[in-house]
Amino acid sequence: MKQNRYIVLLKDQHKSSIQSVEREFSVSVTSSELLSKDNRSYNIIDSKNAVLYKNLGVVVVDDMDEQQLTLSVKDTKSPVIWFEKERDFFAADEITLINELKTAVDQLKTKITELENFILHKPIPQQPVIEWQWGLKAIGMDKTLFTGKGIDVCILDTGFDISHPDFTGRTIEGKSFIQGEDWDKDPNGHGTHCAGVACGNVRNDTGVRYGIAKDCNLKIGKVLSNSGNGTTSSIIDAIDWAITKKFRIISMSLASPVQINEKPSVLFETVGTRALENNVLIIAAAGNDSQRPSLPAPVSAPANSLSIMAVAAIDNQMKVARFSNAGINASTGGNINVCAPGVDILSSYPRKSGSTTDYKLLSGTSMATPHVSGLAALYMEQFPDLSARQVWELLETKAKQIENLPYRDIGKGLIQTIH
Amino acid sequence: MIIYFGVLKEGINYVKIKKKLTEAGLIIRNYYPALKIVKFESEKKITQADFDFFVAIEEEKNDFSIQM
Repeated sequence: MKQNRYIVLLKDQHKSSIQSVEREFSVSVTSSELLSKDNRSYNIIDSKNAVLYKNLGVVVVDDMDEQQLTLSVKDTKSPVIWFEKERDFFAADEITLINELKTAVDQLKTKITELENFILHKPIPQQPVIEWQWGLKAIGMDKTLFTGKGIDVCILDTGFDISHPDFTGRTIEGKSFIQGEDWDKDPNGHGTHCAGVACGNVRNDTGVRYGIAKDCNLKIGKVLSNSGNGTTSSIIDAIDWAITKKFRIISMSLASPVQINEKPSVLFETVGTRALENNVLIIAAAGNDSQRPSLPAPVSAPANSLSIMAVAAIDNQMKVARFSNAGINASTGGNINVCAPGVDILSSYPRKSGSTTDYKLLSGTSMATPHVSGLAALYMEQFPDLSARQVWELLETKAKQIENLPYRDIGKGLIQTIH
Repeated sequence: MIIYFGVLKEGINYVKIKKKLTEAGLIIRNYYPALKIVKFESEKKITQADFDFFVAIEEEKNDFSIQM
């Protein structure tokens, strides 16, 4: 047990004073003159033996009666004029102190980062988002001011209805890769719908927004016929055109089904790789061949290529769409990378005879894909120095997992704006 | 006629192999410099084993479709 040591200041060092202290406190006082390397003070001082430091007029002793010491100080006849308990002194090592502070700050930073990651990546609860443009809200479009301004987004699809009133005044470049069919007409309507999701703006009747990158540079490549079908030739021709034109994003809401354990096409794997090398990101639909809850079909081509981003579809209940293909060919490639809204998606549509609207609700991984393409344009505007590959990584990093939905079905999760 | 896409191996110069393809009776339809891919037609079945300067040769598919 630690003893209390006292420093007692005497008014003088007369023999009578020393004797008075010895009597009063029942201690034997040894003069410091008698201390030596063989006779150290710490070997002497205890509750019965004190040391008198002659040069200081101070007696040091253990476990004194404090009350008695207080009385002695007040007693003018007592030689004791002051006392205090021994104090502990430590070397003031500033560097150690700074290092300790740094460690504490690092620990605090780690905690803040953990908290930030938790908040940013906490699963989205399975609750409905009820709005016409629910898909835009689900990806956080209401929290960003970016519009894809200056980014070239190329939609490879059935063409585009250039007479659509929501696109009046916009400069749109296009090319048809289907013989005898024009890029700036879209009897099918699919291409106009996909372009509207990725690059549209607001409805001309209600003012509700349905498009993501409303200020991007819209590019159209007609690679699917008016019946909605296409060939490898038209797609490869169009991708080569888009890369040569240095468009930043190629959006392909098209697919060709593959078998279980079928290896991805080396052709499209190479095309995706060359695109990334040229700073072009290709985003493709995972395919609609599933009939859940039965075992889903594998991700279709060309989305099953590792160098092409594969997009699955979810509905407004935050559940995977029943038709959405899944990453069940994982051993040979073909994972889902992210998911996006793909059920009951409202977007621009060619007004057909008898119709009274310029819009239509459609469902499919076709509708999910342009959500990702539009958001990629926002990212490229927001982070102009990032490469296409880095934008892909960022889309995955910022995506949010959805409760109870596995990686197989939605990859890294639902894409999100960065705000 | 069947349409094929040949993916050139790294370091292969298209100009140098173009003659070989023609001599083999193939009709070259396009060369994509940015992709390093050759599109050609042939009446007979072609495999990768026929040409060692291709990483892969794939036949044209015509079953791509909209996904809605």
